[in-house]
Amino acid sequence: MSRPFSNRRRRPALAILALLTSTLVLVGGSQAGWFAFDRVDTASLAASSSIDSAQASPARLLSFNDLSNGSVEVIDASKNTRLELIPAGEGAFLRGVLRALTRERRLKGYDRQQPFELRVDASNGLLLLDTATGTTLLLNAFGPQNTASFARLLPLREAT
Amino acid sequence: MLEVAAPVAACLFLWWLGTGIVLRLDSLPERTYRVSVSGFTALAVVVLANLILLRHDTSVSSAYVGFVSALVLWGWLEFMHYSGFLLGPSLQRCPPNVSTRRRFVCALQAMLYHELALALMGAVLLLLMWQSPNKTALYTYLVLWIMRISAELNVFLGVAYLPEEWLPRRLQYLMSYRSGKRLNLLFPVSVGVASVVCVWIFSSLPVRADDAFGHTTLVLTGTLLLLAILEHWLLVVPSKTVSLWSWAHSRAT
Repeated sequence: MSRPFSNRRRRPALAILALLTSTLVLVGGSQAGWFAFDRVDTASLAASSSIDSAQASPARLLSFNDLSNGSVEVIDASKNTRLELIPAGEGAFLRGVLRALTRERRLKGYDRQQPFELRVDASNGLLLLDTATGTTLLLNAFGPQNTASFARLLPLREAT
Repeated sequence: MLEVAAPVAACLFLWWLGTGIVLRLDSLPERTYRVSVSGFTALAVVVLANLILLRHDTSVSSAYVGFVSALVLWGWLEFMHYSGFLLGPSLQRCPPNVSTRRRFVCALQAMLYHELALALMGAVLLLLMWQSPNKTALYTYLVLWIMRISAELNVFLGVAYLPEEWLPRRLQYLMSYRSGKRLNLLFPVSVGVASVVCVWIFSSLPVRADDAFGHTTLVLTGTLLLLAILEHWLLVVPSKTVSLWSWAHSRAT
């Protein structure tokens, strides 16, 4: 018994290696910002924001600070007060959205410190506007749970 | 207590079940491989695609899903290996009494595709998750991968016991690469380093008490590492652990 297998078995092995290599290129390319397959895809979502944002009623300017212990501080940017502290490991959606938006800012060379604006439009959609790049996200597109994670950062409405 | 007991129990059960499934599929007649290979590959692709979404999720359930995902991806490559579809460019029995270097080259040639595939999978998971909050699948895979490399090196350098009866007959030639020694110098290093990491994982649990997701991930990966250390010990101490999987193992071929 010299050769336990014929070379026929080499093909599936090379196919697996090719499959993994192409996955690696795909994932690597996406991380490098060449293209995105993420669910927080700012470019395509910005296009979906044909809603008239000038009509929106309750709104708030927000900025976000990454703290050294991994938590994120949500600041009311006009009053400069802390609204919420999101502990490390929580708020995955919010973190994902912010990461995408800040990456866009970095790529386009905008100031990282500019606030974001959270507002409700005329048709009760929740919008997040990047005041630096102009990108607008319709948060409702990400489902009710994810929308709620931002909606609670709005000032309370007097009458609903 | 439950927040420790549940992931420990889940890890033990999934480890036992997963190993059994791979052994079982492998011990079936070769004509079933076509179905097993395509089914397992399709499952692996689905799991990998799901991880793209899952990595943003930090609920407790997503920690479990991440853990199972890594086990499936791992099991896929292991099954491909044991069923003979993922070996290396040259599959020859190593001649006896050759130099260690020659034996290493020989072993590498017989395993190269498999080792490359494991490394590529590790790189995919690393790139996919290193900036994401849910890294459970990545950590799980790293434990499996690093401990596997360590076990392979230990077998190569010489250990007393190997469950040879597990190896399908067509892979018995892999035994020709092992050293005749009953213990080697790497063994205490492997077990020592892994044990320190394991103690570190479990001792950092109280810090994570408020973070259910992080806590679950730590217990899952820590328990898996504990099992891997145990498996290392089984290479130098005789045991009857093989009977754990007697339900899965049939020497029909």
